[in-house]
Amino acid sequence: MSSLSDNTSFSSSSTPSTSFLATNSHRESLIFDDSSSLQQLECPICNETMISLRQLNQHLDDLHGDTSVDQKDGILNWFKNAQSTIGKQLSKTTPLAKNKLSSISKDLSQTVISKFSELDVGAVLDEQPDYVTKAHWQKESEHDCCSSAGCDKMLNLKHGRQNCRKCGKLFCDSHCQLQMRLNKQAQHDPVDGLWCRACEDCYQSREGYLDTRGVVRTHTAAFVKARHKGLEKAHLEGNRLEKRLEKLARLYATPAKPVISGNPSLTPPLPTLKHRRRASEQSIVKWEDDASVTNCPICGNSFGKITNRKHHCRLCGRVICEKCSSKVSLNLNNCSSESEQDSVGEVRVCRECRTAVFRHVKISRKEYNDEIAKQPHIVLLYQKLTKIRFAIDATLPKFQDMLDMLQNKEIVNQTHADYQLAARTRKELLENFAQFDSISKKINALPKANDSEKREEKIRQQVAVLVEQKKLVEGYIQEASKKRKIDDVKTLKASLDELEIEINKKKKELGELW
Amino acid sequence: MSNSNRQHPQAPGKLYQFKLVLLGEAAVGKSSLVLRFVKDQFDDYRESTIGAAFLTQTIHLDDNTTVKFEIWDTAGQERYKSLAPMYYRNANCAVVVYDITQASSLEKAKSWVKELQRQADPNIVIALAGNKTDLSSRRAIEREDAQAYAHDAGLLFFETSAKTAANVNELFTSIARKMPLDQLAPNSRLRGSLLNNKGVDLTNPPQNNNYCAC
Repeated sequence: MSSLSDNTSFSSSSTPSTSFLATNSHRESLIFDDSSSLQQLECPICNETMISLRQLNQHLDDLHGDTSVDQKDGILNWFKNAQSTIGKQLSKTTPLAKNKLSSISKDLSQTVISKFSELDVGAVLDEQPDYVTKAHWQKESEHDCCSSAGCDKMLNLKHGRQNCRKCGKLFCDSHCQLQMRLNKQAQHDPVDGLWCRACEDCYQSREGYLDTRGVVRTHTAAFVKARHKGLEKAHLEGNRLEKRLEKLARLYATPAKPVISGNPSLTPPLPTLKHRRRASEQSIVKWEDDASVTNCPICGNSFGKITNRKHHCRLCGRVICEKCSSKVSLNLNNCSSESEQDSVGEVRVCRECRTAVFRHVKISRKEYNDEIAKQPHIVLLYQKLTKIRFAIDATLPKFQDMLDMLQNKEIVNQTHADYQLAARTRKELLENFAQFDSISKKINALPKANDSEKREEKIRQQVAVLVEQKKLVEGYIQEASKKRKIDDVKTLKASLDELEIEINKKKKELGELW
Repeated sequence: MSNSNRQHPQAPGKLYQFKLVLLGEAAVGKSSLVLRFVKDQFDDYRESTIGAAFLTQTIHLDDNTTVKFEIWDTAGQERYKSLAPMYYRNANCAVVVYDITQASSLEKAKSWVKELQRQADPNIVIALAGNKTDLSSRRAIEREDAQAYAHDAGLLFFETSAKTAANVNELFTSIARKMPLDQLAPNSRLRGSLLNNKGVDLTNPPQNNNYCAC
């Protein structure tokens, strides 16, 4: 390290060499023009001569991306060499600059080396355990041209030299700037591939390019898993509460007895049914202490002595306010049904417990399916209609072809079977047409919605028409302003304003209808 | 008077702007009439109008009177019926079109006329146009009947053909002539004309305003 600091003069141009050292973590792309001072630019690993630092950077990225520990020393040595080389060349400069630069170089080389030592090779290996194959790369030669059609730039310091990671051909910098994901075999892999440099042809010929839907990745399994967790929890909670509700129902059904405690002399006999009930209710779930609660945990309103009094949820025992709780009738046979029949009594339940208990009752799978199946008549008819339409759309061109064939091949092997097939298709088509007709008539004959709905629909249609017209007028305005017809623009703008007023009026009317 | 028109830069004289609305049953040839009038074209297969189309045409009545029509060609389909009031409400003139080969279209035209006389500007000039005279072999409405009705209702009447261009220009010209040009007060419904007066007249020499603004 001390030898490094002895190497005095260091120019600001040494920055590029630091950038080289920062190969894997961060790369700076500085163009180094003063190539004369870096004649000894060669790869420290394979000793290949480079034309520019930039190219060296890329070379190191591409070929020695997986630099391991033993190569680290090699790079360090190279750095020292480069430093001394530059130092020697710069030693001819003025002594003033020399002094200034020496301090900079000291700091710089220290930070660079410490950074480099810190560079955890293991981590680097983890980040890039594999790289895209380079076996297919076009070999570099003295007189390479950009492979992009119509470019023909010489690949040199000025234009750069890049291999497309996918096709391997050589390109100039500007024609190899795109990035796509490739797997180890340099094939397009939109999901797990590494981001790699690619030429325009490869980029555009990849699957899914210009595909508006893009790559489809299903997350359903993950979502189902995540949802399952929550569902299970809710289910468990619901079951627990339901058990309590059952117990409560049994409690209410049996005539309340005084709670038999271990020592009857200590607990005075509870006088009223209400008090006895309360005690037994608390044996099912422990009630929260009144004094510890000042606000309803659900709505957050504060409790008072006269207004907004405290209540206890009989299922979770929490203190809640009147608004956030409701009475649930207890039912011996089927505790979780909310029917009033066979009710043995009512208990106060907080809103959260209520939804937890009754949630699976309310939205049982069967009922849900029923709900789904209960589509309006018009939807069912329409579905049928579209089905028939598809069938017609599919058979009609076929039938047309058949007819053409039969007409053209007047003499050549026209068999009876052909005619039969055509006749059958025709019959099928006609049947479909008839069905289509009858269904559309049925839809037409469906009873109209009631008056208010009809009115609403009418206004809706009017709004739709107005909006349509607004778009039209906007188009006219653009056209007129293009043609510099200022008078027309004025007229049209007035019309547009009127339309807007009308639209707002109608929308307001709609709002009132709701 | 001086407020309701402006000097036309090219042709010296007065320019009047009128808002004209076309009404009538679907497929009677409203758009074709306008197309003939504005562009002198005819289209055998014209798609039905959507909403209300906007076109303008300027005609010279005489040496110093120019009339510019701002035409709103409304769609005849029932769906767009609600748009019509917006356009006839402040129109200066209306052309109600029917198809001489369709008896029902005259009934519809009559109902439009009634609606206009009830709801539109009381001074509106209405013209009744029986279109498609080129199809006279299939005529279903006699000229005399329609003319009698037009006379009773106080409408201008023309039988036109957008296809052969018969009577099209005459129709619009006579509307322009019937407009009460001389009685147009400054506060008349000539929208735009007032504003035009305030525009910058490039032909005018700059006035001598060499006092400072303080």
